[in-house]
Amino acid sequence: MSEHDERISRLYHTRDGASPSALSDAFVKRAAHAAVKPKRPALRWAAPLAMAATVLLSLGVLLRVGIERSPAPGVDIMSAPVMAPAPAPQIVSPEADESARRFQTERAVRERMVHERRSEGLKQKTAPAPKPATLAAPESVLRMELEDVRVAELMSLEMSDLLSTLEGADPALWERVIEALERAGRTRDSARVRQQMYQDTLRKSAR
Amino acid sequence: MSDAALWQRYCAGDTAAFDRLYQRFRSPLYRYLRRQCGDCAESEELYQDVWLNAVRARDRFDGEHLQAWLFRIAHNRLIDYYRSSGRAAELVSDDQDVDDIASQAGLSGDESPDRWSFLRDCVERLFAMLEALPFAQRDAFLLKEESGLSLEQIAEVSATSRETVKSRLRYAMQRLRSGLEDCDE
Repeated sequence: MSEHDERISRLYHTRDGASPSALSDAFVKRAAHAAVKPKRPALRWAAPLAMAATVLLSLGVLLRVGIERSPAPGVDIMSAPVMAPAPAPQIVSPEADESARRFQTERAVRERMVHERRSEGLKQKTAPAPKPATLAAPESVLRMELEDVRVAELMSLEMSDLLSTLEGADPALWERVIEALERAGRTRDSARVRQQMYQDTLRKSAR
Repeated sequence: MSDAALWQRYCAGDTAAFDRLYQRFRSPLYRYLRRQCGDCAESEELYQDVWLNAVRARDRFDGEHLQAWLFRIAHNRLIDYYRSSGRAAELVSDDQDVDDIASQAGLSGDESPDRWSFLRDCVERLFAMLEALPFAQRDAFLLKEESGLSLEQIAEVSATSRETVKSRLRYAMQRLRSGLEDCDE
């Protein structure tokens, strides 16, 4: 008996052959292609290059910061300690100088305006002029600042000069000067100023 | 281009060579696996495994007798599948078994007057009997029909002797013929 039968073989191949699914086809091909895909060579130089780039960048930043902080051209910035504490800020540039001058001028103008308004307020105490609500708060703050400055200036005067300057001034200013003298421990001076304030008040009420 | 040349080109990185080889063997391999496992649901998985195993082992194979090599991988994968799925008993060779295959397949012998229906009936009976064959006989038959390998190559794939393969095929043919006597043209 033969191990081959043409009739059976023909019958066997009569049935339409089954085939793998498209999913299997895609899976097998993808896996086979990936297996022989050339791998990217290891970048041995990548890490040293990255480190060198970091160092260069850091040096560049430090160099630039050093140049910007340098007070005058010609100074050896490399010899200066990079991490040394920064010196106290000093206005050296012309722009800064100009800015300071402008600030002083504006301050003087504001002080004068406040003083004039205060004088007018004393004159029209019974019927003070209505002020815009929006200006009230900033002006009061400004006034307090200016009065602090003024009290400090008055404190530096000789007692005779201080008393002559305070003569005819707002009682509030007298009080502030007295408080400042007491805080400074000048109790005798403060008592003298208080006494002078009473006399000044009496004089003004007599007028 | 020969199978071996295409395989070597694939191993050198030519993916198009693999696609050509794949096209040559996809259907025979799939049919062998599917019919050997009885149209099991895992046939697609088995099929993918065979190709993946081939791809993984590509460096240890020079491409000669590629077809036999692929079918050997498929055969081994089937053995593993039978063992892992509790069907190991079916692997035992029963070459001396002379049970009536036709009765096992439930063949009635009814014939249709229509020629096409008759032919289809014969084919259905053939596959029913094929499924009822012992594993080793069915394996030898499927390898011969699907791969076209020689007896020596089938013996190599099955890890057995040429004479054993010849004997298995003879028994298989005897059983199939007995159930298809009325299918003579």
